[in-house]
Amino acid sequence: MAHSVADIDKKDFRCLIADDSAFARRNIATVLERLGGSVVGEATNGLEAIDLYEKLRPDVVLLDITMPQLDGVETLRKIMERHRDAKVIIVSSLGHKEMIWKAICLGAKSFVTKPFNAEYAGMIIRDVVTGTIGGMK
Amino acid sequence: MRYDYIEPFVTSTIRVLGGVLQSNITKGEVSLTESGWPAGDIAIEVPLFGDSEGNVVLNMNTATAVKLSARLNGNAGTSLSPIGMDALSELINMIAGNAVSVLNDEGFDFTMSPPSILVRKNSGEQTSLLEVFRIPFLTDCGDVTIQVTLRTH
Repeated sequence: MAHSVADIDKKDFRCLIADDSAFARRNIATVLERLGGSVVGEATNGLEAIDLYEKLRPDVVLLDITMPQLDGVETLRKIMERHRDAKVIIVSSLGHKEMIWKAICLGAKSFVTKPFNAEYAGMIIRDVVTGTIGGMK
Repeated sequence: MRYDYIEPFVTSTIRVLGGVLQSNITKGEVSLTESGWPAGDIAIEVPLFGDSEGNVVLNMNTATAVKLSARLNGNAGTSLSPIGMDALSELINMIAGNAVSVLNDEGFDFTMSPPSILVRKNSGEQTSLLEVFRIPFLTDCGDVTIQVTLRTH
């Protein structure tokens, strides 16, 4: 049965968004805030994302792939090397099978392709935060 | 340039633009030209690498850019703000990303870099001669053009 974002129990969780586009960050933040999450950090590249992850230890990371300085794949790899329990969701315009497989193998909990449907993205985020879905170990 | 590289950019543009604008998108006539500055004064590029190298450019005039960015941002913008340009950059990022994903799922190997705004060069400046596919689209915000340039190794 499909769930709507409005059905989700409000649960405060702390989020880090890593995307070089302010417009994209704002779109993701809107979905997170509707779920009851709070955006505690915003990164515009992979290096900033790693740094902010260490400082903030967010409950979930929404991570873009195509970013300057360090892309999302390498950022994911570095975060997961240090924090195997990190909950990272890839949110990217690149959604080919090999990329999704690579991200999941590296430890991403899920993958959302842009442009995304807000209801669908909300369900994915909720399920990752609550531990309903968790990718591969 | 191989035409099978181009079709995914056409379908991706129709899907992404149609989705974010929630309206019908009409494709115009595809033309093959030599490289040079696109027709409109707003141009945002996504560099492409891999089996072939080049770029995909989102191009439109300022009036269309203002309307399109206002729609994407859900406001009644009358000028092109930084967040407006960022929304247009994200638009071509999604178009290029979706197209590259289709190509890669078909067995090709492409990657892309983040979008950047192109600055018009002096009119007398020469550019290298490359084949450029220009694909116009009619939207309810005005005409936009996707320009694909790919150099085979």
